[in-house]
Amino acid sequence: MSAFFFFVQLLNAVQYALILYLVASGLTLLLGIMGVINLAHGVFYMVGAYIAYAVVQHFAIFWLALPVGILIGLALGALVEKLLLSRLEGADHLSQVLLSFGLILLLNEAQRIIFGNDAHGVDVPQSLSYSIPLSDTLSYPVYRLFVCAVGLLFIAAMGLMMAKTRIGMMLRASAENRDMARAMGIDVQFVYLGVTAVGIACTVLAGVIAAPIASVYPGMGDTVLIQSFVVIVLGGIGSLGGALAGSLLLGLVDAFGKQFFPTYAGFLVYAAMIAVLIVRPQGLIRVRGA
Amino acid sequence: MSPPREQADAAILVLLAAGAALVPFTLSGYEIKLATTITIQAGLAVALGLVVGPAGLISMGHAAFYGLGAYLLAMAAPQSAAADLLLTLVLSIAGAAAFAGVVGAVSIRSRGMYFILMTLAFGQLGYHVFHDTGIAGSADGAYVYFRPELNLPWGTVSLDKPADFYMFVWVVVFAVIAACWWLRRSAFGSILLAARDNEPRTRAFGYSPYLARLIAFVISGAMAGAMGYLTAAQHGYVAPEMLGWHASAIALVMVLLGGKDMTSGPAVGAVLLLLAEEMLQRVTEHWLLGVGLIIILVVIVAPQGLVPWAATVFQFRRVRHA
Repeated sequence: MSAFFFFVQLLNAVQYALILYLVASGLTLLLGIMGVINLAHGVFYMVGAYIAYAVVQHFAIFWLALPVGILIGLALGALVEKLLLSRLEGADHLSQVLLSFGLILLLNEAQRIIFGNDAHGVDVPQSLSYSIPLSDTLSYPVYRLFVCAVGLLFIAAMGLMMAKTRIGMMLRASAENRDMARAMGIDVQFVYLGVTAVGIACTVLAGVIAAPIASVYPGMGDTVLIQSFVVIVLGGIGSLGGALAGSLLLGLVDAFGKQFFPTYAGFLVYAAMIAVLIVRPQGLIRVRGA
Repeated sequence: MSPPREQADAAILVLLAAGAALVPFTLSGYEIKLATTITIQAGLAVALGLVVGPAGLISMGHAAFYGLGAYLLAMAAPQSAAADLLLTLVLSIAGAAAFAGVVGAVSIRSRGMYFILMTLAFGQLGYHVFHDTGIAGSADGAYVYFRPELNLPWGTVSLDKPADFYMFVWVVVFAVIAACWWLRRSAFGSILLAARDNEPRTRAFGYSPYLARLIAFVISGAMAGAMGYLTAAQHGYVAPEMLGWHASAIALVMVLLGGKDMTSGPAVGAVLLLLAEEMLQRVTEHWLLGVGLIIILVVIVAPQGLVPWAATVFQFRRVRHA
């Protein structure tokens, strides 16, 4: 194995990890702050990919898909909170699991009605469709570097928001102690609405930027969903830093696992999660409401 | 459970069993096959209801036991002759019970959402074993070429006719349902309920919540394995998707739809969900849209399930509070 090959795999691992982090950060905030298990999170990733496909089909401008995806994601998230999740406050996990499963069936079928069952490809935008040569035979596509850049930007923005802003403070307070936060005058209902809308918008955005790399097909959110659950269990529910560490670990396991043990890559990931939960049955970090 | 509600539970079960027993005499062809599927799924739902209801464990991996039971038949059955039914059924049940023992022993230490995620991970692990490693046809699935035969002391009984197979399914499924009904009412069921509602006090009484839950989980997993076996014998085909988390979620939907706190709830849920699916499929190819809407509606309107909800509507509760 040449050093370049190793380097390329490493870049792929990081790039996949950053996409996973975009999805997992929303999922972990929903779980940590609202105590909601959202199985439908992966479906919104698929929605993002199909938005990219539709926008490129109709307008031939990939960049347009980014704001469109974020706006649709925010709207969908707000709708899900207002219409569904807000009715479940105080309900058990079973209701959440099944409600979000119903949502999966609904959105999957809506996708089939609109786009059909075929897999589609989305072209990499013209301005980024070239590669950086690494050696005589290996090169690295610039678009993947762009995905890394978006991911890093997102990490920085999330980190700053959580640590420095009033919104971040409200989020941390609501996660720590819901009732106390309410008593201190924080509009917890509004926090929930914001978390759901932003969390789902991040996932849709992940789907949009992943579309030119992965092909767009029905059920594409499933793998991402389950892997995101693994990520947040590894990193501790509700912890953004943990989600980042978990994403990187999973990205490495996935990229190198597929190279070296293609048959077993599928379940290495789950084995990792089970191993962590055997050692720490309540996750790596204890969270309230879990 | 209060006496009137317990009576209602038993009455619904007797009605279901009697109604199901009439199927071979009143229906034919496709309808018997559909009734077979519904009966098997009702058995699976009741078995899962035992861990979701009294044990309070939301298992997102029960399809793995169901699918394992199915695959064990596909792997054990000879290619050119019918398998011995009782022998292979025992194998499927034992295999599913053993796997449930491992999954339960490890997962039950986790509570709440961690238990859900743990069983989900185990289920996916099982899915990938059959999907990726090629031990039984990989992604293409595996076939059971001949339906197993019942070898009794006085001769061999073929179950090739749909009505005969249905009767066998009826016997197994209602034996499972009766066992679950009895377990819920037994002292063991009370320990599960006590552990669910007040764990420290249950422990103080000298019972082990962990052990009680594990036993319930293994029994339920073994029953799910038997249902998987029946499905494999019915269709002669098994696929990795039988183990996946979508299948586990559908089983949970049946439990919640009917109501997890009664034995009859999950059975009614299975019947209603599958009949609704069947009707929607005749109307539109996008029937899953309807199923999704039904699930969301039930979770919001009747989160305790349709059987207790109907009981409230019919004022069973008035008797209870009197």
